Amino acid sequence: MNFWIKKIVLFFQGGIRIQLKGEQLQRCLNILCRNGVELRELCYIERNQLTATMNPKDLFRGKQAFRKSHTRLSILGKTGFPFLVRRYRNKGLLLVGSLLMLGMLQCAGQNIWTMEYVGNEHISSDSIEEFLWTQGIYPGACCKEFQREKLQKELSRAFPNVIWNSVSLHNSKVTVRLKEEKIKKEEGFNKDTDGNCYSSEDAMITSVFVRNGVSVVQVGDQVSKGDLLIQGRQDVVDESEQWKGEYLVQADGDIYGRVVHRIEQAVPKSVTRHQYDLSKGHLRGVALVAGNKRYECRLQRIQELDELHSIHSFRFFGKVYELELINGIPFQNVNEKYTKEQAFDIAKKTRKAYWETLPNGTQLIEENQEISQDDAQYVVSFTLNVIELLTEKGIP
Amino acid sequence: MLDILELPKDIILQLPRLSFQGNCSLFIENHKGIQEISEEKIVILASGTKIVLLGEHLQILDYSELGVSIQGLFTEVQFL
Repeated sequence: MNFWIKKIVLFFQGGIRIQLKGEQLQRCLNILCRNGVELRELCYIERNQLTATMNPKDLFRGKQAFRKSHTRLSILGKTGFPFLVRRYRNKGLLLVGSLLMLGMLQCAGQNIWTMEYVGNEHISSDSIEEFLWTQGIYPGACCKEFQREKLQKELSRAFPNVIWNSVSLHNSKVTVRLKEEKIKKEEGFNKDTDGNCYSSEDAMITSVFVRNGVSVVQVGDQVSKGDLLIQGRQDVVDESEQWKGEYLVQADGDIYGRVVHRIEQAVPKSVTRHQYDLSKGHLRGVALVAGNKRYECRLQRIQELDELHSIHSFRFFGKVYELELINGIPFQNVNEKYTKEQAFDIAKKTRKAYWETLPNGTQLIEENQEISQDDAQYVVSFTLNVIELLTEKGIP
Repeated sequence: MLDILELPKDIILQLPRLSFQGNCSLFIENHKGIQEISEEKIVILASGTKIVLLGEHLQILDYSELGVSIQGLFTEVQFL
């Protein structure tokens, strides 16, 4: 660096290439040195003859040395800026042209001439260029039109896939740097749901198994219909846990939940098969027939609350049910007959009374009417706790 | 005395200081002038001594009262 600075300084100072001839060349050099004259590029040609370069202003200072040492001086050439100006001082057009060129360079430097796009993989350069055109940035536009923050904001708005962007202006070049979110589209990727799985029912989660994606619920959580269960968007982080981007997949998995279905149904009391055997302490099953519907079940658990009220838990076509018989006549007394009062007395022990009006609106019995087994009906209030599959690809 | 006071010898005694860069570049400070100059031999005067530089294609790049810069292929340096 110093070398080049020295070169530039010497160019502006100017230099004269001289030739020295004489017998006392060394004496001449020493006198020049003592007078503060600096000589450069001394070149020994032959005996009593050498060439050197000196500053123009030192030429007059050195005349005394040349005279004293009887050395003949010849000027071989003149170099440097002072002589350049003198040479072309009569050529005004050259000066004007040089100034004009400098002016044009200065003006051209105020405009944008090139645009570079870095990091765009899915977004084409043409679309970015088109966007910049709409913002007033194009080759030839003034640099004053460039507003970095506004451009960055508009770029994010125009291209939602871009998670990071930077727009910079360096001299006359605009550089647009982008970072796009990596989208992996798997087979069956559902764009409408963003790849997520949502709950199809109100339920309490009983089991979670995820094949793809990230589960946002745990066993025991209470979810509503439409709640997010498995998320298809995953964050990508590096080793230092810095967020790098997002990754979209089609969420997949099996999340089961206990769904409570409340059904009230009048079931005509017609027990066609009774395998309930209390004495032996175990049970097999019970069948309730209501019209053309047949509710067959295999009893798994019995909890007797009282003689009228019992809760049965059974599996019905693969689903677990808890059947609560309300106001039902006990199985072991199927042949007995009850009056309304007797039925009411019995019903008092239960939480609900359905003797008067059935859910379908029909009057079950009349006052003081003796009811027979055929007339009496089970009014069954089903509380079905069903373990159902909740994960649906999308909201149904 | 100079050692005790830790004073620089080249400044106090006006001794020459030679700075070599390999065997092709030399800068001499504190010189008293040139006695002889040629492509094979350059003799520099210094305080109380002469420095004889022998070599090939010797050329003085800069010559001023601050120092002498010599370039070429040095083969021998003598102090007489």
